[in-house]
This record gives sequence, C-alpha cells and structure tokens, in this order.
Amino acid sequence: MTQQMSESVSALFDDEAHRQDIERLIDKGSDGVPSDVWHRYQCIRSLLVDAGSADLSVNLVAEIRQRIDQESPAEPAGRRPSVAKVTRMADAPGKRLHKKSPGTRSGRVAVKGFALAASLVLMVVAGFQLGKTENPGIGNVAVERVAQQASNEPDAAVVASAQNPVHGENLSPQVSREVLLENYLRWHAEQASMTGPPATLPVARLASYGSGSQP
Amino acid sequence: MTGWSRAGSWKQWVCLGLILFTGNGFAQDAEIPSQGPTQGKTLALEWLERMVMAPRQQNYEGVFIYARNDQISAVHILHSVDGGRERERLRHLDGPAMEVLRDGNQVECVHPDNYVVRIERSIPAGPFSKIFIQDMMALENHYVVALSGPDRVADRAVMRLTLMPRDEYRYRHKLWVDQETALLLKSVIQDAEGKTLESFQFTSLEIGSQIDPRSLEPRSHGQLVVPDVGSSDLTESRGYQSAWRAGWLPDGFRQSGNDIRRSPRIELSGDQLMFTDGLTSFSVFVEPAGVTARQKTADWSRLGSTIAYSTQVSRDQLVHHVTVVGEIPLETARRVAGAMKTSKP
Repeated sequence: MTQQMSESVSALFDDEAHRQDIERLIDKGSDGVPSDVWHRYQCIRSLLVDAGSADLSVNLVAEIRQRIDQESPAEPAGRRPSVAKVTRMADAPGKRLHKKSPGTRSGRVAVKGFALAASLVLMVVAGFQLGKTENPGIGNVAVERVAQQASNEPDAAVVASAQNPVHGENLSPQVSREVLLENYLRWHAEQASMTGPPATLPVARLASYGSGSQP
Repeated sequence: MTGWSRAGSWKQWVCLGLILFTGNGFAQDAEIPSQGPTQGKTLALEWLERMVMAPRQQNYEGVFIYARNDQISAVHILHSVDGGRERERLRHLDGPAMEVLRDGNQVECVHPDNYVVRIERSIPAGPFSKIFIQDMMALENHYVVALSGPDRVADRAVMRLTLMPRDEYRYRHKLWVDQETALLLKSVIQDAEGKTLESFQFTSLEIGSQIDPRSLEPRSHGQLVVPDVGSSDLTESRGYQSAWRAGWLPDGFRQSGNDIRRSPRIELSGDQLMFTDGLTSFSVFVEPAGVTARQKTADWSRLGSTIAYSTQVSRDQLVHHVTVVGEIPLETARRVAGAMKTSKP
C-alpha cells in the first residue's frame, strides 16, 4: 500500500477523509490495501449482515461501491436535488467536501464516502450488539438500520447529516452516537487498564476493541 | 492474511483453550473440606493479595483467549520485570494486528491502520497502587470471598477463588490463580443467574523466561497520537476537578479520578469520572446535550460484562447526556446515571 493510500485509509478510519481520499479509495478498491485492513471490512460485514458467519471471500467496500453505483447512474431526475444537498452541505464552513455542480462525480463521491465512513464507524461498536435498548438507539436494530441506510439509501443518510450540522463530518446523528459510544468504550477501558485490578483483564478488554473474531 | 497466516503456531493452544474454556472448572464449586469458613476466607484474601503482587515479580510469556458474547480473541502476551520496571506487550493473533504496550504507567495502543494512541496517567497502575490495596482489603465487605479448591489451567496447578457479591449491584467473579506464582491464569465474570458474561484464560504460559527487551517493542509502527485529554487525579489534586459527582453509588465504590475528554471527531468535550470498588470499575461520561444527537429516552447496550447506559439528566436548568460504561449490572448503571449531580459550591 502506498503512503498515499495508507493516509487515505487512515483518514477514512478517523472520519477525516477529504474528497480526494475517498475518491482514491473508491477508484482503487482493495488493490494495494493490506489484507488486514480489508479483513476488517469483511469482519464488519460479517458482524452486521451475517451475524457470525464471516464470509471472507466477500469484499465489503466493493459491495457497498457496487450497490451505490447501481443507484447513482440511474438516478431519476427527481432525485437530483438530493445530490445537490450534498454539495450545499459541502459549502458550509468547516466542511471538507468541495463544491461541484449537482449530479457530478463530487456528489456521488460524497455519498459513497458517507457509506464507507458510516460502515467503518460501526466497526468498533459492531460487537456491541447483544444488548437491548429501552428505545431503539445503540443496539442491534439501530446498528443494522444505519448500516442499511448508509449502503442503500445514501440520499436519506446525507439529509440526516445535513440536518445535524453540529457534527458535520458526513455522519448522521445515529452514527455520531455510535462514534460517541466507541469513544466511551475505549476511554473506559483505557482508564480501567490503569486503575482496575487485575491489570491483564482490562488491558485485554482494551485490546479487544477493533479486533476479535467470531467462533 | 497476515494475522491468519500466523495461526498455525498457536492454533493448537487456542483449540485446547476453547475446550478447557467450555468444560473446565465450572462444576467444581466445592469448598476445600479441610478448612473452616474463616480460615478459608483468610486464605482467599491472602491469595488475592499474592495475585495482585505477582505480575510485578514475574517474567512470563503466553497466549490467552478472551471471550465475551460470541466474540473470541487470542492474544499473545510478553511481560517483563526489570528492576521494578514492568513492561508488557499484547498482540492480537487474529483479526487486525492491534498491539497494546505497557511501560510503567504508560500505555500505547498501536492500531493496524498506522496510528498509535498513548495513554498516560498519574494514577499508578491499578494492582500496585495504594488505592487498590486498600480497596482489595475492603472487598470482603462487598463480596463473599472463598477459596474453592485446586484446579488446572494451561497445564499448571491453580487455586480457584470465588467472589460472590453481597448485593445486586455487582457481578460474580471467579479467579484461577497459579499455585506457584499467584499469577491470574483464568477469570470468569457471571451475572446473578450464573450466566457467563466474560472469560479470560491463558492457554499456554511460560513463567520465568528471559525476555529480550527488543521483543517488547511494537511490531507495527505508526503516527503517534496523544489523546487530547486534560487528565486529573483526585488523589494528587493537581488540576481539573469535575463539577459533577455521583449522587448515589453502591456501597464500596468510590471515585478514583476524573478527566476532561475531548473527541476531535465529533467536537465533544465532556467529563469522565471513574469509580471502583477495588475489583470492578465503571466510568460516567457527562457532556452537554446538543453536542451529540438528540436522544430523549434512555439507551443501553451490553458487550460481555460491559454495560453502556445512556440517558439525559437536567441539572441547573441544563440538559446533559450521562453515559455509564463499566462492568456492572444494568440496574447499577441506571441508578448511577439517574443520580448524577453537579457539585454545589
């Protein structure tokens, strides 16, 4: 993987991808990206979709890209404005996407970028699924819903993000909650690894976020 | 894939561990017949004390498996003690090749996607801190500590301890401690119904081996990221003091520190308060509502023994998100979250 690709992947993991980063990844696909990174994508997919039966032959990003591509070129005229929303959101101060005319590649890239970013954000919390919610939120239903939204309904996802300008960063409110939960889990594990006995166990918890496999 | 290609060298140990994991030790709850309850309790506490001190006295290398829900991780661990300085490297053997490195009171997480998170705290590492020793001696007030008898883990003779909570606000703990060195070789956390929520177990272990310092260096390298946190330790009173405090805590829990946490990704700035009873811990995160997505009712999720309970509280005419994360039952988290208060000057 080239340094440029590495930075793009890293930026995507950090939800700080610029348009160029996302575009580069979309164009390159899995070519040149280390297998462990793609394995991570695949684990996300297996967690979110198959609930335990990891299918390592399937490439999550390629699948997402394919599904979005299937929608984007065939967009009816009536759906164009929703793409325009993407570019308007990009006009907002502090946003990373660059303005282009509606319906251009920029809009599609933004949508694709959101889909990828949303999927990646869900990576850490994907294992956090067995719990129930007193109302749909962090739990399994919500996670699956967001994943589906990100990959199948890009327009709706972008609208959700645009309605939440505080967090911008192409994330919907629900995904922002997932990011927050991810942070909380890590921060707690970090602290427990320093303060809680016995030390090996909280360190093991800390190490488990972002890793692990299904039996 | 890189991670899976190494599987052959340790897979046999993981398989063995899984077998032991599911079938070993759970049915052996009998007390040691030759000891009365008082003597057994005293011995159990002595074993706990030895267990706490053991890691700072031993070099060891091994593989442990860590399981919660249906997620299983195999981790290789190297641990060395040199002149009182503890160093440790944990490396995941499956999935992304994440590493955790400890050097004294500093922890670094080396992520496979080329970045490193460094965690530094003025709070001494838990098992060796004065706070923890004090809490551990008080554990008997909140858990029934018992020595359950000998067992075998990772081909080593162990002593089995059980800690049954005296109230409904914490979980059951079962510990398997190496008879020779008092290292913790296996741990199980169970809920009130006896359902296993989280398991940790060595599947192979070599104790006392010489550890090459170079082997404690990370195999992965990446950009160093120091978390943007304002750290504070209540015991040293050096700086930040959160305006928040717990209005209710289960007996035996006390605050061990607080932080300001900032998340660059979502522009979050909030408080983290940490609590421990000496055996388990939880964190309370408080941030102003409006920073995150609107959420009018409570959410909770569980991963193994870790609960995350989130709700909103109104204090001083402001609405805040309160999230409790820790290895505690849901009801405990719910009560703690609902009782968070702002300190009155």
